[in-house]
Amino acid sequence: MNETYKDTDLREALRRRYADTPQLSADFLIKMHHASQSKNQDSQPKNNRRTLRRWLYPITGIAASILLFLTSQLFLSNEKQQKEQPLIAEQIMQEQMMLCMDKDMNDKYEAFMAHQEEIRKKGEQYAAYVRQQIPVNTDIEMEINNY
Amino acid sequence: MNTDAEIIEAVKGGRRQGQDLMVGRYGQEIFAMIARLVPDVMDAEELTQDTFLRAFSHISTYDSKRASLATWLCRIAYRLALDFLKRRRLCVVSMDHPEIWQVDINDEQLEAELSTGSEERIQMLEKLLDDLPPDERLLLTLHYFENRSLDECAFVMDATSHALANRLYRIRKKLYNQLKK
Repeated sequence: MNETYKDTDLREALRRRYADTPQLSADFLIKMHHASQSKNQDSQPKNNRRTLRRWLYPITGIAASILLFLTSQLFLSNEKQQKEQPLIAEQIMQEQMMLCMDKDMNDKYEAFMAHQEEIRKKGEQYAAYVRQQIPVNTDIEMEINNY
Repeated sequence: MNTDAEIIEAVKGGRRQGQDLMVGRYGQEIFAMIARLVPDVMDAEELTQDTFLRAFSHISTYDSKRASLATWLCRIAYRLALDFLKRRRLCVVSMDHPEIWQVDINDEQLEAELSTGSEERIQMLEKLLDDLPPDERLLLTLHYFENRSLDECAFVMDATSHALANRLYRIRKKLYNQLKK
């Protein structure tokens, strides 16, 4: 594709159409400097607002992120606790059961021992009774002892 | 203080004399360019003012290797004018009518058709120019009227020179199509 076309008709039409271009007003420079000054004065509060906006948005963003993180952590820990609670309760119950079982065993042991003690005491009482009731052949006893 | 480099240094230093020299040298050219895009002269003058104020405040971003000072100013002016037209909801970009693609004409034939020297055809083209959307009118004026290269036009209009060459072909074809009606 050729970059420079003759297109003389089009060039002539453009030349005629834009031959009379309007001129800049004589006080253009004065108006421009005046506009520049008033723009500078206006831009001060604008700059302050821009600075505020520049800091406000990131800070708000960071604060929101932290809040979101903390909330999610709290939610997660609550959920974890809720999951762990039945386990803990079960553990406690098991421990209590074990304690009950131990206590039961102790009671049984103590009862057994008491029963044994009672038997032993009864045996001793019977032996004493037998000794009182039956006359002892001292001779034979002595012989036995000597033997 | 005559060269562009010296004017730029003066503007960078915040000297009013530099600003006045820049406006004195390029003010009318920028104003004329904007006046071709914006219908009202007062608006064009205000946009010219904004162009220079923006140029003064952004002079540190100017790179002389990329474009001349005049082209850089044109680019600022074009953007401001385009924003202005968009704000005013004035037509900026046209949609190509499908019928222009039905016209079977090659580049050479098109060039011949637009170079007849016929007075009637020139007058018709002059009228048709007003119906073109501002961006197409600007491309024609930059390239044909101000004799800027397509690379310069591309810098001003923020496009590639290849895209602008295609656009130029479409505009010429559209004008030819309207001439034939």
